[in-house]
Amino acid sequence: MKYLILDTSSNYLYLFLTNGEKDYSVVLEGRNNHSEKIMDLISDGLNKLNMEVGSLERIICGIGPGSYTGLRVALTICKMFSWAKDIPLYTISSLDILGSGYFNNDGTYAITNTAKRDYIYSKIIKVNGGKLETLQDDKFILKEEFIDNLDKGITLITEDNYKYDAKVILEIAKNKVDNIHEVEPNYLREALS
Amino acid sequence: MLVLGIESSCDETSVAILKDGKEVLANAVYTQIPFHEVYGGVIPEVASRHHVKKITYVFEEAFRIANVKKEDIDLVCVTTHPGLIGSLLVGINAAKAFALTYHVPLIEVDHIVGHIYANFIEHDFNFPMIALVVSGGHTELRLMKDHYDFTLLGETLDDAVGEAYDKVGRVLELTYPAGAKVDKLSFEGSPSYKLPVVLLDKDSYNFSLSGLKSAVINTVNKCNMKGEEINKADLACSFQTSVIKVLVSKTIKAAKEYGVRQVVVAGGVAANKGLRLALASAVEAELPNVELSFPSMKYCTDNAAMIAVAGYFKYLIDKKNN
Repeated sequence: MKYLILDTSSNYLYLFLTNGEKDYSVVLEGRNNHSEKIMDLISDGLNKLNMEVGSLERIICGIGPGSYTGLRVALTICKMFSWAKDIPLYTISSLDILGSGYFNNDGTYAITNTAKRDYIYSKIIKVNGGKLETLQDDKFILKEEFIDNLDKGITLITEDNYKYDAKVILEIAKNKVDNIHEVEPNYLREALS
Repeated sequence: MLVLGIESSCDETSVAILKDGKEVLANAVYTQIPFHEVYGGVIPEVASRHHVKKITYVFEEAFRIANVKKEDIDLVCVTTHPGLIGSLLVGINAAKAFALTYHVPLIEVDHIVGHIYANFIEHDFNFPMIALVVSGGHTELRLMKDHYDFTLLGETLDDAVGEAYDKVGRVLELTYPAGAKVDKLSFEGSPSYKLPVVLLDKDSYNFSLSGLKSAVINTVNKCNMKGEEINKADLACSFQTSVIKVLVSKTIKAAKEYGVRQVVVAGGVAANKGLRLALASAVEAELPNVELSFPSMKYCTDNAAMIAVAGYFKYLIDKKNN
């Protein structure tokens, strides 16, 4: 399958493109300049894989939680590609994307992304025999409170050890968008909070 | 040539499709004003959230109205500055995505230049000309000798005209956006309150409106302290009279000094009826051979048609220079 994965919710830009035979994958650090780099990277990837936007069969977008601006960058691009060429759009928690590289191994994973001040975005996933179970859904929480209450044996995933796996993401991104015009990021918080 | 314009610099998401930089086939605008009204101004994060939610919907509307195919677009133009960064990024990324998908050139457009070119939709330009840009975020006088040949003659040193109107509107207990309401109210009163007309140095084309705005606020506060009733219509009229005196006198002075053939007014405050009447009267009396043009009301506020026109001319100039 020819597909694109985008996530710009964190300090890292994640882009994965495949034409089904060859892959193009980028993980790039730089919280404040994802917007400047992302389209050039997509263009470079399409060229290297000899693809067009219109040849994509699926688009998977990390819709948060995470950096508000970052979420809008990836989702705007994904919505536009999807609308422009009628490509199916799937959304997935950005925290699932950031921890996807661990989900091939059984265990319990606490995936986090830095929020403002002393807060983080977090999610806890248990993997058992290849099956994923959400123990705690996406949450905005004080970092100290989250860490203090974390059970032993849970692997903590922060921006220091994000790992991505495109095949896992393709497998777990099941939320197909019905109405492209209404989809918006999962901010988890009100605009004025 | 079919030109696609995209504007998202503040609280309007707009997509337009124009033929040859002049004929507007569609100018779809999604306004967020009702969502910002309760806060008395634009909240940047709220604005950004609306843009990303509505962006494809507005694209769809524009193509439906224009009745053209996406693959028929030859050029994409987008506002890149100035504006709210989070809002701008939505339009910019949407524009880039569309341009990449259909392999068409992308032109970056200055929002203020867009406002000036809003006039070109319904009027031709006769150079040299003076552009008075008056909006919620900008107050400028520019000399234009040709397309994209701008000289900034003056700008506001503090509040923009539209900003001063909104702040005055707030003390007059008018809801945001207050510009049109202050304008309307001013026609029901007379300029009975003594307010300053700040012209700065006689050779300066700069503006300063914060003193006038503060004078209005002080007048209201003094009346409240004394328990006196404020004549809101008179105060609105006094404020508007002072603002218009400054705008008109500097515009006429610049037009005379640079011997222009046309004066164009641009930006949201170009919709102000008091300004339209006063400037028309002054131009007729003092500059009988100078053409005066305002955009029609729908092109005064933020819209993508003006961005498409401005981008189209920038594209032609870039092409010629290259």
